[in-house]
Amino acid sequence: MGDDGRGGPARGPLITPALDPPELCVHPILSVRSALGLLAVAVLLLAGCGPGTSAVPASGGRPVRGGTLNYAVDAEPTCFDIHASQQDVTAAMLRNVFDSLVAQDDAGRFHPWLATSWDITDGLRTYTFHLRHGVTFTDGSAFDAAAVRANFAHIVAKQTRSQYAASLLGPYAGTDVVDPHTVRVRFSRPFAPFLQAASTTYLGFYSPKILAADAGELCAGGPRAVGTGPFSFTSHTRGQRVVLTRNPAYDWAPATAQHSGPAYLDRIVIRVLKENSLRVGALTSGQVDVAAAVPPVDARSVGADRKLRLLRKDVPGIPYSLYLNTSLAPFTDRRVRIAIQRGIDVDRDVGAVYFGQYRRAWGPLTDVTPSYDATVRQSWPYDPVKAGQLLDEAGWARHDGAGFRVRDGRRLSISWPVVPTYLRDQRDVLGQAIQADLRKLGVEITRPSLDVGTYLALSYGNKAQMLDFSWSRADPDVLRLFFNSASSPASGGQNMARLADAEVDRLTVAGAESLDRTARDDLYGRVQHDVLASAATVPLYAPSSILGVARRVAGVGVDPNAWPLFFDAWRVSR
Amino acid sequence: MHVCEQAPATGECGPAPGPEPARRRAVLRQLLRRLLSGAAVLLGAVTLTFTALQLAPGDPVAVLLGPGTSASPQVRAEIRAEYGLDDPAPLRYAHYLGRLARGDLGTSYQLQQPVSQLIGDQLRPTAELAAAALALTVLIGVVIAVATAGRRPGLRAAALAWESLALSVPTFWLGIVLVSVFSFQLRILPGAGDQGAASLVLPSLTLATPGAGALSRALREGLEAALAQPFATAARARGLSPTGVTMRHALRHAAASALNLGGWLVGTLLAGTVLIETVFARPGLGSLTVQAVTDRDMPVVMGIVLTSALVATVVFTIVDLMQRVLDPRLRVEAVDR
Amino acid sequence: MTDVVVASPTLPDRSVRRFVAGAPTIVLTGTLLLVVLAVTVPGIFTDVSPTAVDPSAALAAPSGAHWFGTDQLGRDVFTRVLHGARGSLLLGFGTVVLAVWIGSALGLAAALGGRLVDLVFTRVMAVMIAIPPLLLALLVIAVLGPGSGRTMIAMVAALTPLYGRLVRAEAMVARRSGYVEAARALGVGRTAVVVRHVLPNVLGPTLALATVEVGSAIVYVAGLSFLGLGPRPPSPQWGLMLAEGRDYLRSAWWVGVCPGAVLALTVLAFQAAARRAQERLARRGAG
Repeated sequence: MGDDGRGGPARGPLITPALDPPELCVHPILSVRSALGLLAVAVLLLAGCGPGTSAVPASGGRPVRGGTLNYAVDAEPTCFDIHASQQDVTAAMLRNVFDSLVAQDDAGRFHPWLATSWDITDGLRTYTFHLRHGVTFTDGSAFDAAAVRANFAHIVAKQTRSQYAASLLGPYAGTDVVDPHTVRVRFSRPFAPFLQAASTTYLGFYSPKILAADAGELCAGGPRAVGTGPFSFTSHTRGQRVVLTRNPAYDWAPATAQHSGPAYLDRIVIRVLKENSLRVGALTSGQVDVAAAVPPVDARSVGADRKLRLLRKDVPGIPYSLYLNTSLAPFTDRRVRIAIQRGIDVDRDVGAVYFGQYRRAWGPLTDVTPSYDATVRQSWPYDPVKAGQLLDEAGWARHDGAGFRVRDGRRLSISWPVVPTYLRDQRDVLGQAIQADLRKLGVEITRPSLDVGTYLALSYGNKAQMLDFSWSRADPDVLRLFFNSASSPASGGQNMARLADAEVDRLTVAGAESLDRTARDDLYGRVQHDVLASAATVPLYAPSSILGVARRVAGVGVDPNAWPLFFDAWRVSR
Repeated sequence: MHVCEQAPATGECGPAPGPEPARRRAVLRQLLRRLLSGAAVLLGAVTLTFTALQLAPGDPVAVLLGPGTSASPQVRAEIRAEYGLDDPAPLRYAHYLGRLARGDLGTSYQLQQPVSQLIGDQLRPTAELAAAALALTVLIGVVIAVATAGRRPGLRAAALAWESLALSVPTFWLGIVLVSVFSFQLRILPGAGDQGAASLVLPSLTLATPGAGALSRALREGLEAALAQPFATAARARGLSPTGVTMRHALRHAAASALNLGGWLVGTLLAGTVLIETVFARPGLGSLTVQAVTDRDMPVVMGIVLTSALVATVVFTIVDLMQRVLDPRLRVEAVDR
Repeated sequence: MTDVVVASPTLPDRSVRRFVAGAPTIVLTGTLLLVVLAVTVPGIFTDVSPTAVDPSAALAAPSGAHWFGTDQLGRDVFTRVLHGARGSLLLGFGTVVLAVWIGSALGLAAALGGRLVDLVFTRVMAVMIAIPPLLLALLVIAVLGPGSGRTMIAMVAALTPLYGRLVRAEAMVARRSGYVEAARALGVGRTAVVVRHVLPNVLGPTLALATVEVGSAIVYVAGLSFLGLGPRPPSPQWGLMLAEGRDYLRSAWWVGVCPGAVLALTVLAFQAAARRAQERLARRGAG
């Protein structure tokens, strides 16, 4: 889906431009593996490749002001309204245009941004933010408490048709303007995930003038999208490019940034190049300076190119997974679901399709997500024999002429729709490998091709047997979005498996009401195991954002959502 | 195809006899009739696309709302009313015609922008590509035809082979091969995008290939027929070189028959952009078409079909009228009809 | 291709020329034969399954074991191209056959069915001709959605106007020729006139056009599946293989280039065959 984690580059501390010698810091990036990765980060930090060096390359170069950066992306937002769109590409692109109340770092801690400090009171029901003084939108109007209230009101307004931002506000009850620089956000229930939600682009701030005048036309993007960010949205031509121009007045970078004051670059030209080979070709031939989503098949050659660097960042949230609809036959039978889980050779398929560039996933959270439980690893290895036995037990013991299992004269056939508009990451190739695995097991997988409208009707109407996607969010509360029974697609949730498990419901709600790290780790750890045991999902791979960057550009950053940041970027030579 | 076969006994097909008032009126009447039938075709295209929209399944409201939305039936009803989805078909048809008359092609379901604006934005890159391809088509077609018509068999054979290849090689595959060679291997031309003239070379060459093949074949056949005519022999007898004869006399006659290709050529170029823009990741109407069809974004699809019908009708009309100017026979025939 | 020889009776070294001119013919005829064999019995060339996945052998370069190399899932590209012939050609042929049938029926009805029918027919056809066939096919796909059967419907809708117009024109000529009226005057029934007198005159040009169009139809089908708007994987389609191969073009050209080359060669063979058939027809007609 458009929502899923992508569009961004490497793990924060590893985004170290123009390192000297470069090999020292670049190669470990390619081989970083979860826990080992942390170790590698520590080593790199000691070696002088830490975040502090990001703005000052070891080669002695100093940030240079000016110039245009050409950036090629693989997907174009269908809607540019950060409050309406659920697309990752929208949030990633507009991260450079809109600021948030707080900033999240890679360790999951929160830092001041548009809010200098905040108090959480009333048992996680009230968040009071003290806003930074002197912040202005690019249309000149002031950013103040009233602006915060106007934006949150816009998000929850029916006319906005918010597809994601509204759900990030959770049990939102209202916003009070205490004074021009103090704002109080109220919730009807304890709502722990709010700070993380407030750090995302989706809860960024438009100029209230724009919300009053052009609220209906924000999807088109362009100069209407007035924010407080380091760049302003100059123009958008569908299918061609997005142009962002430096905001010269910018002086409120978050504490996580490498410098203060305005951005270095004059302009960012974002070109839409959906075709993988052409996007990589534009990077290697120097037509663009940065390319998003370097396909795994080309990662090695791009990494070996002396003029290029590869920056990668694992995406937090829900890995790319299959969702088996527990409310529809044949998946009402848990044995059939487990058989599917165990009958797919995930290790081999993911390894082959992604050339070892993406890691296989073991649980319903990727391993860079806070509260990830590492004990899920190896808990459900490939076991076609066991899968076959389970299907036999479930009554699918006989085979028809084509070699597929049958029961009561009906073939064990599962419809897994494919939506070409949403396809990325060679997922259709992975799908063919899965199809081949399950065929060996005697399970037929059909893949009807659907347009978005038909697909949505199918998933809302609970008529889809099996669906697939990933979702980027740096907070385990995303488990509630995906597996809580109250979070059905028709009510704005993503519980595509229609899992209805009282224990999962209780744990995910309890998790959203606690800020205690240990308590959350425990609660969400149990959710991860319960969800796997229910076999409502088959995690496949942890998406990784692989960014190809020309060495003539330095300082490109990535936020914890794996969205690229160009605030600190500059051209080493113009 | 042989324009001059039954031409007036002047030997050469010179310009038609001087216009008399009656003839001029007839030509005007004909012009008017041609324009009217063009308008009828457009009205037909409008009706066709409207019917297509009625037949398209799927709930536009679901697309408008997008995934993950909890829309109450009330909100859905509001949207249905906003887009006029609940009116009876004849009323919607009338509304549709009314909006079209005002240049309003509707709003994209998927992108939530006016279709006319979307098409307007994408017109320039497609027009650039099509114009460059058309120029290349004519250039390549004429050069090859003139260079090989009535020449040594070896040369003719080579031209024939090239024409067969040009007409049968799928353009999208040719494009991929050209990108692999010139962009990825040799790295001398950009393989993607629409920045500058260099990025236009490979796509326009690819797009021009089938048309150039067809044109050079038609032209050469026309030229050879014309060169066999008495006037060509006479010109040669007067001491004109073979190329001179070809260029000065035969080409005009061959051009009249090659004009038949005009409508087909423009259609091929327009349709070709759908594939070529995808292959070369170029923005434009073609890319927009693919996206709209994939998403079943009917207002956009309809807008594009109507635009292309408009362009084709205009071109057909122009070609038709030009043929009448170039070929006196058709004029007389039409008057008699 | 042979018209080169025919047109040059005074060549110095005819046998060499004939051989040179004949070489393409041999290659193209061979291609046609191979393709027909591949469609009917793909098993005689290869016993490997076109869907057998072997990730350990992914993206292997062409070799003795894999003539066209292997694709991203380790499937043998040669095998897939052979099996793809069936899907691609059946769709191409099926489309043209259906379009000829429907177009002929409509065209005959227009020519023989009275003024009103004819008027409606010519107006509708004028509209459909004004829209390029590929766009017409895309319009139908936008309405119906993608898929093998639907692709065929879309292609038929796109190509039918061509035959409808041709058949109507030819039938008009036949009707005006006098002998039809004579037959009618002699009391021959309407249907009988059509079958005995009009149809034979219409058939030749229509079939000639149809032969040429088989090649075009194959390209159209490939183009649609290349755009992801035709049949979906794992249906073996050349256009689909080409589209999938694009992602690997930089490191493994054979995945995309080989199916495309076979597609191009097949279309070339069909069009060359059609051209020769037309020339024969024309020569017989002239002689």
